[in-house]
Order: sequence, then structure tokens, then C-alpha cells
Amino acid sequence: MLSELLGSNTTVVELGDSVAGSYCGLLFARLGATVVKVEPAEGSPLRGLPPFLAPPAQTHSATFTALNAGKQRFEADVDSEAGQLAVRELLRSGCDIVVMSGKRSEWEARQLGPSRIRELIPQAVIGRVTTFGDAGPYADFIGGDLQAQALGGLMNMVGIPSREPLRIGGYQAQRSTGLAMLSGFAIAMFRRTQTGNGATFATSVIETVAQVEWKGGLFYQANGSIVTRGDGGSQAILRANDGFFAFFYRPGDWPKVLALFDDPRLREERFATAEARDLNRPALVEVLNEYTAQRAKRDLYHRTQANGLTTGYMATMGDLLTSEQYRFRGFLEDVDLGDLGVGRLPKAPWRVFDEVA
Amino acid sequence: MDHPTSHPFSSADASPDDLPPSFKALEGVRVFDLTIVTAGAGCTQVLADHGADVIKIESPRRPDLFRQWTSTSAGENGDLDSPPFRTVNRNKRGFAVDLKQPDGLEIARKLIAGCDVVVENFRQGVMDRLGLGFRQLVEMRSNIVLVSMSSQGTDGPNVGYGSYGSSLDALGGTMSITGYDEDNPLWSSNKVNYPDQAAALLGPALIVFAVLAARASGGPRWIDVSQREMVTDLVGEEILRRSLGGTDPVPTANSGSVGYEWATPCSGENEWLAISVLSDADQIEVAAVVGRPELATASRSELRDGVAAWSGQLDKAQAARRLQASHIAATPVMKGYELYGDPYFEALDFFRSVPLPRGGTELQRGPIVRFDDADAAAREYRRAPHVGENTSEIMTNDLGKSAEELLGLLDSGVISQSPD
Repeated sequence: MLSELLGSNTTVVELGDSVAGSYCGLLFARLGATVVKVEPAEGSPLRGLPPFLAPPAQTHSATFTALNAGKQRFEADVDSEAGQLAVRELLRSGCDIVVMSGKRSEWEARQLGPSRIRELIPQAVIGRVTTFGDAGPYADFIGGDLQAQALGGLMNMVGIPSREPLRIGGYQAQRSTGLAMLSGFAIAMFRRTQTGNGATFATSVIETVAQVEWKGGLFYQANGSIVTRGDGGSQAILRANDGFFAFFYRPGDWPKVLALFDDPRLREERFATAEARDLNRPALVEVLNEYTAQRAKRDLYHRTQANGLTTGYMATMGDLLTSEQYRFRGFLEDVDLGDLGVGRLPKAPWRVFDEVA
Repeated sequence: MDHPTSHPFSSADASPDDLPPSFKALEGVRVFDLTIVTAGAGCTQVLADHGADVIKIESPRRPDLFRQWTSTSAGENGDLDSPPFRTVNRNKRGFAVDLKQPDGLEIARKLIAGCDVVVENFRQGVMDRLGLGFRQLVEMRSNIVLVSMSSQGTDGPNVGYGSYGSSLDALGGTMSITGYDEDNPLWSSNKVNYPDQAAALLGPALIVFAVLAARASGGPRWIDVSQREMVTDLVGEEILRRSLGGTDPVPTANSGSVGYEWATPCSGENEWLAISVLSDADQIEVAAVVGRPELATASRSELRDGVAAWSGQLDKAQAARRLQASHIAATPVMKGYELYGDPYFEALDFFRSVPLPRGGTELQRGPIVRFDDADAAAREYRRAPHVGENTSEIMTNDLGKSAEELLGLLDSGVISQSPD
């Protein structure tokens, strides 16, 4: 496979249930590792996560299905002694990496805590994630991605100032935590080549969210300024006749904007400087919208990009499934899901070349 | 600043490995870092945090434009005036060389021969034009790793297109499920640039695994990362659902597809609480907590108004605790600066104290995950370098150049060294 950096002799075992841990495991599968997901007979609670597939498969979680493609399943109930024993045997039979979701105390009670696993396999690298931490003020909190995006400081920065703050759609707090864990594992695997020994690390989803929105606080610290959510003058989501056009220009590119949009009103003094455009943003957006609303989003995208503006268009899932760019790169692939039919899923968003073409 | 190795509630997962206090996980990894702004520089920040020798390469006359994007101290800190720049470039060394001059390229070639990795986020074609394409890099070092982080990858019809973080929210699909409703989609905006942040979390993994693979095989690796594809992968469940006959999802504010979720205002300016009512039982509980039993069967807008009347009188943290006590998912919407004093983040030493150029310190986000023993996580962080701050040292110690050669190259402007 074009995305592999690990051999199938690298074995990853997933213990516990979180989108973060599952996504991390999925990334390992794409890197070429053998990934074993431990799941009780009655199924992981993640099988109940929305969104669900369209009828007639409406009882199947699209989230679970997408996150577990290409993994092996090992059936064991980690809350039973027999299951714990089976998992310890599984780990002993060969395991490089344990992706663990849940509190340390819960795993210790199962005799599967990180210390115990390291006793069994000193070379194992164990990374563990909770949503709100093992202890401290939020340890007993419940909540999903919305609550994590709120508590970690990301949500405050998304939305428009006059309305409620918004979460980013999907499971982005959990997903980004899966990315961070993968990097933690990579560092730990490198370290293992130096020490000959495994390693353990932990994180929480709210910590990763604070890694993602790390800038706002810096300005307050530097000079007391409070950054609020909302767009500045140099970016705007504009209407197209078939959706939305994501408009952005660097202040130095304003002459390109004038040439492209060719509307005399844009040359008026109220839009002459970056500050003026910021101040008169609603009026600016109105003028730009008049132009873009007559045109197709992809036409606007290609025309502006051809002129060196770093724009985009709002791609729907349907648009992505038919994207020429994705088709060219073979990014989406058919996956046979048995009774559910043949669906399409993203492949790894990276490619690996190991020789000069 | 002191970083105690154990805390009231962060004690290690496993008994600490017997490592010397100076141990660095990525010791011996050397990175030729051409990245600019956040996505690329954030990746190499993680490597530098864990002990890799990351050499930030800049043009003497056109350094990383991120240095000047967001000045907060009116130039007082010179080329280190931007707080975000200072974070993503900490623990790195600065080397200023003009790669467009033949002598500059020659110096770069020598430096790369001693590096494991070259990381770049230029537009497609720039590296080849500089003479630093994959083919040329392999000639410099047979097991080199090249990591190219670009908007849409190194080929395809959109290969020449540029982006900034938030346009990838649009192109990658997250924007189509973010926003107040179908007519008001939103991106994470240029204040967050979520796609850049996600790339900075994924990148370190790919770089380190590629170095391991290259060292083990003796051969090179070129990693081609498409940030747009990465964004789409982050909503893979929606791609699957749509491909199997589902409709295109649209923004639904803070609600997922189950129950009702929203942000309710609390006392104070721009203070909010994120709340989820996922079942009828949840709604009965919420009605009881806010003291309005009739809301148990109310419509969403009535529920929303009723909860707002209650939460508007309360501090957001207090409101969250009261709802959580009744097993309702609710958390305060925290502002970035509020995390500095938050007991959770404080107890974990999440924020690290890093020296400022003109004395004093500032707090910056800490390591990407928490290792449980003597590792990079507990070490002192060095501030980001000035343009070319370590040029002379690298020329002399790493490349073995004589004093005459060094001065000649400095005089001709091929390289530069910051004052002090």
C-alpha cells in the first residue's frame, strides 16, 4: 500500500471505546500495522454513535463503520475475569502498541492498567486517553464532542459574535485527539529504539482541544487583548448560485480582487484600505455577494485560484465523492461492507514513496 | 520554572523508566526545517519539544512571514514580536541562508547531508526549482526523508492551488456540517484555522515513523500529505453515509443528529454553557434542575428559553456543575485565556513557561501528550530563535567552516547571523 511506514508485524491492540482511540487505530492500520480491536460480544458502545447509515441500514453507525475498516476484531468482555485473562493472553502473544481509552483506575481494576501491561510486556508502548481527565475538577463530567470543544476553548472561537458559539461539525475534538495520540506513539516508538524499552503516555480530549485553539490566550497574555470569534475583512463566505464560495485574500492581493470582480463600487474610498474594508465589512460582503450569487461555486474557485487567490468553495459530501482532484489521486476507495453494500471511504491522506520515480 | 515529576492527580501511569534526566526521546534526529506559518512549523515544534535538533531555515532577506503577522509589542521584541510565532518555533535553532545563491545552495546541501528529514510546505514545484527536489535530496543523503505538506498534495488538477487554513474547511467538507443552519455554513475562521492545527498534530507522527522506516531500510522516504484530504478524512463517517445513499448533511448549529444540543447564555458578557439533551429522560432532568417541571415536555424553543432564563442568572461553571450533578452533559464554554488559571490545566503543567527575548517569561501550550517519566515533557523550553541566530555556530561546529569562510559568506549576504 502506498501509505505504509510500518510492517504488518507491528501489532496494535485497541482497548476501550473512544472515537479518539478508534481513529488512532485506523491511522495505524493505514500505516501498515496489524490492528486488533477488543470488543465485547454485545458490541462496542461506539456502534451506537450517530450518524447512522441510510435505510435500510439505519441501525448501523456510519461512525463506527468508518473508524474500524481494516481492523481485526478480538471478542472479549474486559469487565469479566475471563475476558481480562483473554486480553492478557492476547497482549502476551505479541503487542507493540496499546491504544487505551478510559480512566486509569478503571483499567487498573481490570488488572489491565498500564503498569500491569508493562510488567507483562516491557517493550509495549501504551497511550491512554480520557475525555475530561483521570482526576481534577472535570473527571466525573459526562459529555460528548460538544462539551469537549467547549471546555478546551475551541468553541468560543467559532461562530459569529452576535450569536451562540458553535462547535465544528463531526467529532473534531475526538478526531484531533486521535491524531495527537498517533504522534505520541511515534515519539514513543522512536524512543523504544533508543532505550530498548516501552513507554507510557496519557492525554485527554480537552487537552488536545487546547492544543488546537492555542492562539487566543497568547494575545491576552501579551497585551490584554481579547480575540473574539468572527471573520475579519479579508475573508467571507459568499453565496454562489449553487452553494457557497469561500473567499479570502491577502491585503496585498486587493488589486487582484478589484480586477476580478470589476465592480466600480469596490473602488470607492470606503473599501480603499484594509482597515476601511474591515470597518465596512457588511457593505463589502453585500457588493461581493451580488457578483458571486450569479455564478457557480467551482467557477469562482477556479477563476480566483488561477489569479493567485487562496480561495475555496464549500464542498458537500456529494461534491467530494465526485471530486476530480480526489479521483486523480485515488483518495477515496470502494469498501465492500457485505450486506450493507459497497461504500466509499477515505484512504490515508498521505502517500509514501520509497524511491525516486 | 520547576516541573515536579508528580502531581496530586497526574501521577505516572506506570513506574518510571530508569532514564537519565537529560534523556530526550528524539535525540539524534536532525531536521532541515523549511516550513513557514503554522501547519508545518507546528509539526516541527513537536519534534523540537522532544529533543530533535530542528534547524529553522530562513532567507536572510525574506524570513518566515509569520514573524510579523501578529505583533503585540510594537516591535519591542524585534523579529520575535508575534506570540504564535514564538510558540511554534521554540526549541529550534535558526539558520539564515539564501538558497537562491549557488553558495547558499551548496551550504544547504552540506547541511542536509547530515539531516534525517527535510520538511516543507511550499507550493508544488518550489523545491524542485530550488534544487531540493526528492531526487536531488536523495543524492545528498541516500536515506533522507522528505515531508511535503501541501494544500492538495503533489499532483492532480488542483496541484498548483494555494490555500490558507480555513479555505480547507470549505474544500475538505467540515464547513458543510458546521454553521447555524443550511443557509449559514461557517468555517473555523482564520483565527483558528482548524485544518492547519490538525495537520500539525498528524505531521509529527508521519515524520517520526518515516525516519524510523528510512533508518531501518537504509532507503529514502517521501511523504506527500494533502491537507484537504486530511480534512475529508476527519469527516469520513459522512462520506461513507453519503456514498451509501444518504443525503448531504447540512449544518445544524450545536446539535448532532440525536436530541437537542445548544449553547445557553450565562451571566456576564459572552459567557455560555454547552448543553446536550439527548433523551426524554434528559429533558425531565433539565426541567427539574432549572425548577420548571412543565419544560419536561416542552418544545425545543420553549426549553431553550426556559434554560436561558435559568442559566442567565448563573456563572457558567456553576451552571455546568449543577447540570452535571443530575447527569446532564454540560460544560462551560471556556475562553483561551481562562485555561491558564484552570485547575485542571494547572495541575498538569499543561502550560509551560518559556523565556521571552527581552527578559521575563510567557506561558505556551505544553507537549502534545504527557509521557510519564523523564522525557522532553519535563525539560526547560528554549525560546524561538531570531532570524539566523545560530548561523555562525552551525557553520563552525556542524559544517566545519573556517572563520575566513564564515566571514566571507556573511559579507556576501549568502548567510546572515542575528546580532548578539
